[in-house]
Amino acid sequence: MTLVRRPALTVTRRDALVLGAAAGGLMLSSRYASAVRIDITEGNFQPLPIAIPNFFGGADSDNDTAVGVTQIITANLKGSGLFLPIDPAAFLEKLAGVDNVPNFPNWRTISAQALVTGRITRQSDGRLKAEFRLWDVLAGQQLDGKQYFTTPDNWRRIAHIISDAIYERLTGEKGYFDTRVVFVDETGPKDRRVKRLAIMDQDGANVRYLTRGDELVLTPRFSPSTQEITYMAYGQGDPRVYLLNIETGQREIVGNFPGMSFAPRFSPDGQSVIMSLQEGSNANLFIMDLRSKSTTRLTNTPAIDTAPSYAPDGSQICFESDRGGRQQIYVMPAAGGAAQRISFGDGAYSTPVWSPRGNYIAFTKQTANTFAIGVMKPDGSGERILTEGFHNEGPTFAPNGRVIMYFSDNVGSPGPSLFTIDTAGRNQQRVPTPSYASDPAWSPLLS
Amino acid sequence: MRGSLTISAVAHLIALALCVVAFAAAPMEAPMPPTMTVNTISVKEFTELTKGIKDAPKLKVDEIKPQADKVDTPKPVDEVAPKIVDKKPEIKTDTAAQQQQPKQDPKPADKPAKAKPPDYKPDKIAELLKKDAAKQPKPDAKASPDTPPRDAAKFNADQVAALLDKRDPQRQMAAAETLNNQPSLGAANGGAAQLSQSEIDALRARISSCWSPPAGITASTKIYVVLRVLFKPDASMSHEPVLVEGSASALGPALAESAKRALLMCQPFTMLKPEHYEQWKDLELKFDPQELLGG
Repeated sequence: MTLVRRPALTVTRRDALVLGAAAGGLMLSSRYASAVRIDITEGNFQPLPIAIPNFFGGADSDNDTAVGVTQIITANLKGSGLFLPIDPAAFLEKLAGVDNVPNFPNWRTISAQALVTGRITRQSDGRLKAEFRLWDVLAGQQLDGKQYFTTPDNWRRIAHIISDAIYERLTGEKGYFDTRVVFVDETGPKDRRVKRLAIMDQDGANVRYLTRGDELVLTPRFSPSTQEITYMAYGQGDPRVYLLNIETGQREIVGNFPGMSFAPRFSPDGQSVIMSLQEGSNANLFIMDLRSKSTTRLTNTPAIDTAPSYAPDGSQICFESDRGGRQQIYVMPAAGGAAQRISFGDGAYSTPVWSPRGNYIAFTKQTANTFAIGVMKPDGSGERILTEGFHNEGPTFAPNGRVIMYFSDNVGSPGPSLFTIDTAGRNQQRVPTPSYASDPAWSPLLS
Repeated sequence: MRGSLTISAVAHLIALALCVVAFAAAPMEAPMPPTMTVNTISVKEFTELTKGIKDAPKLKVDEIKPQADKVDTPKPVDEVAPKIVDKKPEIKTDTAAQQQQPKQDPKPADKPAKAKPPDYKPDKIAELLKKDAAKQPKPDAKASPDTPPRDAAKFNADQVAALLDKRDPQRQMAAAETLNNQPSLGAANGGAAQLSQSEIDALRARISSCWSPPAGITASTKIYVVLRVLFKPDASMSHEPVLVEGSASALGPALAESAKRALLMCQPFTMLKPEHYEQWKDLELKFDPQELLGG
């Protein structure tokens, strides 16, 4: 026993006992003067009634922008299916300004549970200032309040950022409104379709075309960290995987492999691209490091392995393979190795994509006469079909893992359109696109 | 050399002794569980007690002290047992036994056995008692099987009503000296047994109808919050619910706020009865969405 002497601050045994008894007495008195505890285990998931009166404009010239911002916020929150914006015609109180405390009983009467007020002001230096306050009507207090400065033409993004802030504060999960979607825009008659890569805001605004349409493009995917897209294009000859910088427009081919290369995706760190390379009549998965340009083989099977997708932590990959005879979904370690089949239902499973939250893998399931979009847990259990139709394909997750976008075609319709649905299978919405659209991919949160 | 060795040894011993005293491991004081007076009887004893047969063993009632559930001014104890004219010495033992009864009243099972209707003929009982006193020193248990047939003729409804009146034991319990510290159903004053299950269920149903959990929670998140609510007598909240406990999670604040909103929307909770105000004025509500999510 080592004798470490601590002078003057030693607690004698008697002191310790006294302290212990006092603590015990305290604990006894406080712990056991407890109230009746009742468990509430049931409730209903209802959309939250929220009131969003028009934002104020700092000057009269700002009013149009203010109204536009309000409309974007209202559309975002309503489209998420989790909020119920109240009709402005029902509002009882006309607020004087964003800094005034609202008269909460007026808002309680119309059954609002939350209230958003805001103001848009053009600054003297040309910047746009946007501010908002989120109020809890029932408790009568402010929940959140923020101020943003940006260039005037970014006003839509500000509206999306404010929508994200409100969404996150009230639901607890991160929003997905300040994001973009890259997709394949299709125009022209069915036998001579012109396919171009296009990028737009998640609500369908600000569409910009990234390629000219002289070659067929497929499966565009966002980089998680940079402003780059990887996609497959049929140029002169075999399909190849390309990298495209959204901002500069610069294009680069990924590897120069013999045979076809397709179904590219970025790794979670954005440093490599995983894709499928054709070898004879088979296709196998390869990873290429974007900086060193070194390629690593991941699978070596006499089958077609394609559509790989990383788990958000980068430890595993899910992909589609027909090594068992029919297309099924397999999961294997990111460095390669034994692949485990996780899809066991009746049908052909394809296009697996791992949720950014890590809790689901979405897929396309094809049975005799329908296509369906579904989700299952990464171990293959809990398979649920979210939507079924003549031709539904190509799911992609929103950054918060709650909403899935896919493209869908109807019998006899001239072209496909983009739709969103949440992972519970509710709130199916159409995403407006200038023309027919397919192969969507959701970007990470921009901010 | 010798001297220094001695000094060294003594100094070491003192040091050791000091360390033993100073660094003795203090016992971990666990919170003491509430004390409860327990009287252990065997199953046979219990059934026979309630049956009231002749040779049932007498409960050692002296050891049981009645505990008051409410702190109250001591009320004069009514003597339900009659005053017996002590003509005969044998009856005195009876009286003595009966006068002990008011103090031991919280045993309603014993009551019918002990209290007797007053109008029986003392001499008849006295004879019986004289006879039985010789046999065994248990006059009380003896008297009970004999009195009912004997006193059928002298039946007095008021006294029977007094016997059946359940309020008496409680009134006399309030006069006891020690306060019952055992928390029952969690209420500090121990009277929570009166908040009926139907009120709790009605409250739970009302809150559930108003509660909309935040969308971000899933079956795997396993979170819950406990809010403490203080009510005014009209069953509305006296101030905002306070979060007292919750699992650590990024979704915790959203869950707590959804619970607060549910309570604010749903008040006043008129299904809670005003006469039980003491029991429901301070409630802890645990909001746990696991079942809702099927998790």
